[in-house]
Amino acid sequence: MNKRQTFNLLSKITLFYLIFTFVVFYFNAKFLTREADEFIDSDLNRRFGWLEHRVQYHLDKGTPADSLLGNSIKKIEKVSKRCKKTEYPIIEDVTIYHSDIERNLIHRKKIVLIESNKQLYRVEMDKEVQNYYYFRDDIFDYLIPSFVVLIVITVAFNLLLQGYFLRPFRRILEQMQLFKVGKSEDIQEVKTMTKEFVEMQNLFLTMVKQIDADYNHLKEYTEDVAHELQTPLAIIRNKAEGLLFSEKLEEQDAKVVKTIYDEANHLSRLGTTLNLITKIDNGEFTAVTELNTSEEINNQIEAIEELAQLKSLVIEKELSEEHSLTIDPYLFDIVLKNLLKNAIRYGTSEGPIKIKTTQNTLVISNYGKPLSFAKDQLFQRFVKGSDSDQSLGLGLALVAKICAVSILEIDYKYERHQHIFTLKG
Amino acid sequence: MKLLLIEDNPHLTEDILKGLSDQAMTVETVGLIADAKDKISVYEYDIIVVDLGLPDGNGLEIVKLIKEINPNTGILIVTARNSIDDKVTGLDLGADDYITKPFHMAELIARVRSLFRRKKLKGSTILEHGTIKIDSTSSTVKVNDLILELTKKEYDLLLYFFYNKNKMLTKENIAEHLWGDHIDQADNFDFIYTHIKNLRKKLQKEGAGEYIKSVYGMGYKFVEA
Repeated sequence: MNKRQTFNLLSKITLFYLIFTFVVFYFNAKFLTREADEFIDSDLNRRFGWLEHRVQYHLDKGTPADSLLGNSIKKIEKVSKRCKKTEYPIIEDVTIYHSDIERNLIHRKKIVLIESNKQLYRVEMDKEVQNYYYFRDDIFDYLIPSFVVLIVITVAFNLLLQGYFLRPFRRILEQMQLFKVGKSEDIQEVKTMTKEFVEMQNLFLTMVKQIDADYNHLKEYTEDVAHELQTPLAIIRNKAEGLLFSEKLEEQDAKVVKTIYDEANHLSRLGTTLNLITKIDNGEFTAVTELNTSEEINNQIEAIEELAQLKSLVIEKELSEEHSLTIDPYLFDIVLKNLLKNAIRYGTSEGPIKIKTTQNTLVISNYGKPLSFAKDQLFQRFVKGSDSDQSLGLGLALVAKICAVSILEIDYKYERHQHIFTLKG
Repeated sequence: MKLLLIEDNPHLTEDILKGLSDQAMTVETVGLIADAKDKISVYEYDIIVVDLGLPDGNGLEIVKLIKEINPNTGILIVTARNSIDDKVTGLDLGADDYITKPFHMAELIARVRSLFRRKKLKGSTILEHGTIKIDSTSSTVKVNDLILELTKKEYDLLLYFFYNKNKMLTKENIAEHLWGDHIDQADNFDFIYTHIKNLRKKLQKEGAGEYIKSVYGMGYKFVEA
């Protein structure tokens, strides 16, 4: 199973949307600020240009420099022609304290050289630009709160939408989770006008119908096979049994009849067991519960104890009241029967058959000769001990199959002359 | 005892009739649900043996009907399907017991007779054979009026012999009756020999006659001493 953390779709979309919006807002703000800076520069340059022009004009006309001073023209001094002309014009922003409003305000200062009547003047101009900067900084001051408001609204909307728009989606999911094979009539169709959900639901319903049809076909098939096969087998067996007891039968013929009888039995069991495996595969055992095992184990031990005694085998049990498994009780019955049957069939009187449960495990062990085949073939179909020709070779395959569908773990090992089966929940 | 057998296969019907012939029963047979319905509505039966897979429907239908018309009738369902659904539904609808195909004739006889005893005689009969008496209510066995201590399986075995007097019972048949799914053909049935030896010994110790006769290579027969 994939254990990675998951997020719901709408949250993901919202997150990506917000990241995208943030990027747009950020670059938008950057762009507007740059535009504002350019505007400020060009506006001031234009204003300083007019001032320069005015000073030049008046100096050319011989107006005394001092009379030109005012709000914007702070200083006009004569300078030597040998001064470093390349340093000019000087443009700088300075902070100036205004005592009337008790605040520092930013001013832009521009110092230029003006030549008039063969005299070089150094003209210092000044403009208060604080309001320009206020205006520029407002861009960020407005955009950041708007972005925050956008986040809040989007998240709130997201929550609302998840509740409203995704409700049909959740209900369809619920139906999917509740669906049990063979019970498609229990599905309630969810009403929705969202195209995607309608498509999803239709697909789900089609699949369910298909699954149910497959399930029912297989179920009918196994039942038909069982019926059509077992009835003739019952007849063969009965007739053979009747013949077997006939006093007219020669010994030689009796052997033949006995073989027919045995093989009919074999075929019947084979059919039943293969059918059972198919049914398990088809998921027909759905009465899964949390099963406390001690009672069932005790019952089964009681049923076979005399059988074990007749074979000179001793059964030792050590059962924990806490041991439980999540399994269909009928399937657990089969698992237990098969494991116990094996233990009794292959057990030797060298030591006891032990059945032990702890909180998590069920261990069944018996003494006996080691396997005559590879251990990993043990749970495969039609693999059986060399001394049991009549065995179906399906018992442990059945156990393995049941464990697989019930998500139980079954282990086998051979240790100190003992075959040990361990079942973990 | 009056028994109605509802089974569509003529060969199986024939075998069952033959098997039940020496059981002091009147047996009637039908092969279709429709015919069975006619019979049930007219006559009263002690036991009805019904196969679930019939050509004109599921035998479970009949089970329901019988329970409505005559709840005292013992119902034994025969299923080849080995489907738990059928068994559970059958028992829920009021069937008293079920038997899975293929079955030994001796097994069917034992079930029918046990059912008859339970339903009609309210379980209170005492079965007798020579010097042996079985009281099935208390599951006790007396030989010459002395109580015989038997294990559960020994008791079951003796009862099985009682129900199938003078019939040959194979080792497989006995093993299957006593241990059902806990054994299969792969087992060596020699343990049956030990089982019978123990029962014989206990019976003889109390002075019962030699009722259990071994038929070499075949099985055992419960006979008059």
